[in-house]
Amino acid sequence: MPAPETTVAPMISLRNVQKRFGDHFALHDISLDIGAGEFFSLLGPSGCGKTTLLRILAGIEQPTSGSLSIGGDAMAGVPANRRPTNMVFQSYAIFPHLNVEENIGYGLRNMSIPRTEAAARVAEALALVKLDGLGRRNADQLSGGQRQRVALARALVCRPKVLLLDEPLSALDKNLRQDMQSELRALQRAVGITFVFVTHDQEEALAMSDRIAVMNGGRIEQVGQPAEIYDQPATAFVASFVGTLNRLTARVTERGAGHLTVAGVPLHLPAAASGPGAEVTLAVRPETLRLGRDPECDLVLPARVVEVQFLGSIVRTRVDVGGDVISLDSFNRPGSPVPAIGSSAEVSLRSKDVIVTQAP
Amino acid sequence: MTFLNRFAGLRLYAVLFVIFIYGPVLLLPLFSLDTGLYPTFPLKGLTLQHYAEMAANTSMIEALKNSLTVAVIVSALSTTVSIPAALALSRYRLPGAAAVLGFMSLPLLIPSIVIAVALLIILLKFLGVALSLWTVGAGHVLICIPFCMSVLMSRLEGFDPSLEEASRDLGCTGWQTFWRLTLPLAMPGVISSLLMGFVVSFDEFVIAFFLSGTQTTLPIFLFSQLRFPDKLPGVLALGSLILAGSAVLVVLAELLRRRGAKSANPGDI
Repeated sequence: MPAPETTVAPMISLRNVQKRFGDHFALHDISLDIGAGEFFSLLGPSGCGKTTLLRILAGIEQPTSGSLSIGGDAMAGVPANRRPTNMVFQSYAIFPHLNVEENIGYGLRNMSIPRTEAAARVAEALALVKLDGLGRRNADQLSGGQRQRVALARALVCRPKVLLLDEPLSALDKNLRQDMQSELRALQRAVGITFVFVTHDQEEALAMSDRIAVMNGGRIEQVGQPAEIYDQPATAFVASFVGTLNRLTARVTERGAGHLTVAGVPLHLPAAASGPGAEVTLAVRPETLRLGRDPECDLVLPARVVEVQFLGSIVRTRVDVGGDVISLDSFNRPGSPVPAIGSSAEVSLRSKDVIVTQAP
Repeated sequence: MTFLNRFAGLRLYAVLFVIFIYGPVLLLPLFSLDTGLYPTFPLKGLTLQHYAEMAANTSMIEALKNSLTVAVIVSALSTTVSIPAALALSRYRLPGAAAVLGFMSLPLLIPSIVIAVALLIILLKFLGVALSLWTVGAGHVLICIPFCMSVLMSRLEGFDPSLEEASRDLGCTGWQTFWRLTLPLAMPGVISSLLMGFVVSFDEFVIAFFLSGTQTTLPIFLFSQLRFPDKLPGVLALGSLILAGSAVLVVLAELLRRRGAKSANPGDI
């Protein structure tokens, strides 16, 4: 899917935003534009500042410095209750003393909307999240997935310009989570609201987002579409955090020219020319590797099979290449035998798929 | 075998423990129904005559009314002033919060006789206020606050903080959040606090003794009646009624607490 154009009138615009808690910098100098109608993910490990950034957008936290505008309006000094944003909390924060309808209608009571219209909007929101008929349920009679839907409906019913979601799927079990991923994506397309989605799960971010900002240590490492982030990681952190990454140690044979050897096999990588040391680390995605000799590949490395995981449609093989254990996935085809542990094998790859990262 | 013996020993201990705590109290209703003038065994006969005497004793009823009035006002007042304080201490990182909390708990540690004398001096010497039920009430608010605070804080600290954030996010001001979310959720704690304040004030003797004027509260009235042996059965009858009343209150409070405990962890899945 094409990413929405973000150069014209971004919905959210952050400029040099910093957040300090005491001596600790939770956010360093964040500048970011998020387009209207985008499904935008903030991806990173815990403690990277993604939730803090989300809370600054919501107005629950105030930035130490920097500016923020939403829908063209500066947000400095605008409290959470007057911002055009609504949030789905990680704990869902369902009000325990109210039933489902009262929870969903909570925000409408502050908007001076006629009673009948408010009731209609609550019913509409219930239908939107597929909870029709459960309006009178008490909060403590809901399952985890239902709570999540109530939290979603409660935020969407206020018709915010931006919906903020703080790891809303992390408390759900795996099957439910995958269903909800596609449902959330479909919902976002249907309502057309900008979604800012916080997650530490890279698969989730890749599957759902128009664009992703990968965060680490209070900084944004890279912003881009899922395919860009995955195929052209800007930093070593992005490369290792997004997707599975195999690491191969290569010896530099001719410094400055990019001539290397991996497991005794020579190869030429101009990207490795600037490496200062005698060794560089090469990163390879599992799906770019082939087991056996592949005519499309220019590089064939000798390997030994150390582990075979049979996963149904996919067979994940772990092989030893010159002392580095790497994994590669192949489809399980009837007739192609599963490799035997301990047997020697060959691994093929194209040198243009190799990512050169900083030498250790 | 040894295990069984030990088990039997524990059971005996438990029975003695219960008798030790509740035995003396249960003697009260027993003697209040006895025809004899003095509370001694063997009992002489069954009668409700003491209850009639009690009802006819207008000064005792007057003292009871005074005590009830003071206790109701004191419990409402000390709970009302404690709610914002408990909210502030449990929600925000205030500088000196520990010191504030320590000072608030002081009335629990200082002997009430000391507080009573100090208040008496302040009221008479510095403020020039005449002693009345109002001064008793003021003293009681002082000693009730630490009880109300501890009950309310333990309730407020159990909240998922994102509930209040969600309320703000959905457009409520701080004040609206308090009325629509915080207070309803804190209600079991508020009711416990009201009961606690009521019981502490109703029962209090020393401060009431020092600070009351011509109108007395029930504990002081009962103490003064002990000089007249023939008044004792009426006192016993009143005591039994109060006992029954407080038993009902305790059961109600416990039921409320259990209902509250069920909704205490709203974020759980």
